Amino acid sequence: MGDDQAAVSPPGRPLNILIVDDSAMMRAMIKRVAGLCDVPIANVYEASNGAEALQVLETRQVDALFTDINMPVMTGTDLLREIGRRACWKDLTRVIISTDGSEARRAEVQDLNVRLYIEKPFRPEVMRDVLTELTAGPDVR
Amino acid sequence: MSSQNSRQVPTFAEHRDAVAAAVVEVSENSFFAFVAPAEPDLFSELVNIPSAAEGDASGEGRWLRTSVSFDGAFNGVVEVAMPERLARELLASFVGLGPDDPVEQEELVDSTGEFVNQVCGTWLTRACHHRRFDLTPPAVERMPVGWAPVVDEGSAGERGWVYFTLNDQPVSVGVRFAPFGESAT
Repeated sequence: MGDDQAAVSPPGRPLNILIVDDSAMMRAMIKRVAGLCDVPIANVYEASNGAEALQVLETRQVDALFTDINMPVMTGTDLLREIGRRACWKDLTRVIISTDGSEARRAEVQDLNVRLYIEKPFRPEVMRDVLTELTAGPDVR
Repeated sequence: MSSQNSRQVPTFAEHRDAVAAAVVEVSENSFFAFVAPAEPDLFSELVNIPSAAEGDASGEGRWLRTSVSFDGAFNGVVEVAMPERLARELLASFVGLGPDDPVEQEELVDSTGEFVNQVCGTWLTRACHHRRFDLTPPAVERMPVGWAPVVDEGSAGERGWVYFTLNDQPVSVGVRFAPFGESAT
């Protein structure tokens, strides 16, 4: 997806992550799995749609965004478009977690600087690998 | 003729295996459940065991019926019925709750909806990898006491059902396709 191969935060600094999904239980699952990973995380912020996510981004320092696509009020695609318009969020790492892994959907977001595209359902090890990769920097899929 | 008018209504038989594979994938990978296909006779037998839908906090046997509509290369609705007791087990596995942790009805509805959302999305992604679909938010109904799903043997044409056991409890998964412009609900 994206070309940015740098780690999302300086070495040793815990990550601030934002999870965006209209299912509170899905957010809880992602949060739980992230907490089980061997990666230092400072804060986990949550939003139930793209509009809420923008409010969080405007008030908090966030290193990595994990967003669903299909959400009411503001979709993940619209959220990513809005983020792309703001220079202040240019370094924000963007990860999609969606049941829709179709080629058409992937093509729709290919210019939105998405670093990783995770299809639901996924095993917890996938999230561990993603967070490790984000903090280490190399090998972007 | 517009491309929309040229869309064909699939038959359930074309998608039966892909739907079943999606149920297995979601059950095992997201909800860590033991899943197995069930013949309609076994499903009926399990549904008719009095304990099938018992075990909720109120002591009433209840079922949850959840639907997600989809629209894309074709449109329709996926509908899943499961005992509330199973829905609690799936929620606990999904978010890592202990056996004594309290569960809010809102959480139960949310995770059950997510289960069906993932089944629908996984099926459509696998079956039609080149096309995108839009899904509606899940609609979860807590059915009245005494309600139970009835085996529908009419799995032909544009609708059909597949049956499973998840953690040894009965689950039905139905798909209804609809002609373009018509709601399947």
